[in-house]
Amino acid sequence: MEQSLEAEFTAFVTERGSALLRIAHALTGDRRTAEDLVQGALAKAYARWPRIHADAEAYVRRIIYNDQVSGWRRAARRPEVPYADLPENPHRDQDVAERLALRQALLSLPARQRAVLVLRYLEDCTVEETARALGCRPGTVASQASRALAKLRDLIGVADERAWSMEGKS
Amino acid sequence: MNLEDNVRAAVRDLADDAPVPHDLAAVARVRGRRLRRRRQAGFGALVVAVVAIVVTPFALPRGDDRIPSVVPAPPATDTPKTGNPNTGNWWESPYRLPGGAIITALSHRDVGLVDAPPDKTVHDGNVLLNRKTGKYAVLPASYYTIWGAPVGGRAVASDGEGNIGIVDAAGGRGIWRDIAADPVWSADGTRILFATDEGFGIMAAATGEVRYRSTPMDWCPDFCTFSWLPGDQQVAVARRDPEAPQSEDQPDVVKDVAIYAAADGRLVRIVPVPGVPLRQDAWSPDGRLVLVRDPVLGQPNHVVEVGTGRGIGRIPGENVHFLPNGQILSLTDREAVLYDPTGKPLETQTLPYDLRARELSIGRL
Repeated sequence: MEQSLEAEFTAFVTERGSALLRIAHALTGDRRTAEDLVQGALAKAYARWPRIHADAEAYVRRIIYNDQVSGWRRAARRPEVPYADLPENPHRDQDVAERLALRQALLSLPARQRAVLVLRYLEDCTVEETARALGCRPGTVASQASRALAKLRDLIGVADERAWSMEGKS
Repeated sequence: MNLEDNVRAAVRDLADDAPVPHDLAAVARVRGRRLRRRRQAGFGALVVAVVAIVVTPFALPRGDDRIPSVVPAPPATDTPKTGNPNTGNWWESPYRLPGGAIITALSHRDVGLVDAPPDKTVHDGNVLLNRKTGKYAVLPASYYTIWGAPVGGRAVASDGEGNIGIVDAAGGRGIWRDIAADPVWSADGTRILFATDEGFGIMAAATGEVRYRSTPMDWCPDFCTFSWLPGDQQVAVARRDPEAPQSEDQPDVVKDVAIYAAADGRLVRIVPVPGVPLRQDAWSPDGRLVLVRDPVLGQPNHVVEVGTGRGIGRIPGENVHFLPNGQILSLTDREAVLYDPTGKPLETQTLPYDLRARELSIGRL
């Protein structure tokens, strides 16, 4: 590759690596899987850099989402469970507890639904932008988002009930 | 907070826990180079084997009656013509390009869509011309990239997992082989050329039968990019200059181009072309000119006299082809421009919006 393109690739990774890892970690919930996902996408970008460098970020982000959704790169390892982050007494901070429960619930969603939520709520993409990123119709995005939120509501509801019953037993 | 606010906060919490980037670029380079099947090794003893090869002035074997005759091009005018012979929806009939070419296939550039929904459309999917109906058909979205044959209605598809397959517009599984390389169609649409670790391979489109030939791959400049010569009986690959210093940061300097017999991999001759011939349609129909990309200078592409190595023209663009009439077609996202071999633009045609951000394969009716 031309030296200027090499330098451009390095600058792109330096500048955007953190943002890409944020997306990947939100998708996977696992640091090593997130790194692998980003490295794989960057490798594909590097291999085609002369052709895609003008729109590199969109290209890499699209690969990250699609590789994750496709599952062929999905790691066998389970998402990390952030027990260390749990407050000693969850009842002191209901919001934090609910958010942590929600975080677990998010990671239990199907990959495509999780990707929709990350695009919508982390990247603030519109429905149309989300559809373009995932290569599906806007209607599919809307239905996936709706199902994801319904599932989360169910999961959180269950979690709340569990917390309630645990509280009752203690 | 409502559920959506909580979801937003939870997603951002997850993102905030992302690892700190560490050697991302370095690892990506290694994996990317592996993807591109980079071949770089010592030059070594193979020099001896080719010292005796005389650099011949022309790329074509004289008296080869399999070379197609050149269709004369219309004389060049001073002002580039602008026009569009197509009417109606572009996908409902073979889309005509300047110089008498047609679009045979459109392919995603966004590699990675291996699990996209199957309901992609002609507006955004991988698309292949169905020669029987004269219309473009959408291929399964799981294909990464499509390379349409110049004639005959077939395409090579890659699945992103190191396989390529011969498919057609009728759908179905097709013929698949474990080949991880960019394919190059023969001009008659019957065979596919690709680089291997030991040389090149040629797959028969009708049967999927693959024949491998060994050539000295250590000579390749960064990458082994093979191309068919006119007549589809010989293949060419650039060789780097062994005297020039090599660096990971610098593209290798090309010294010349080696030409091998497609049938048995025998080295036929070496021509003093100082660049890498483009993959598809690199050679003029009479074999006297070749489109090369200078790995150091990059674009634009150069039109080089095969016999002397002298550049006679420059053609901008990434997707550039010699046409059967000896003119050159350059395709961008927005337009198709026809050039004469000196780089003089002859005709410009604006392309439909749907064709943007997709790779075009071209051929003839």
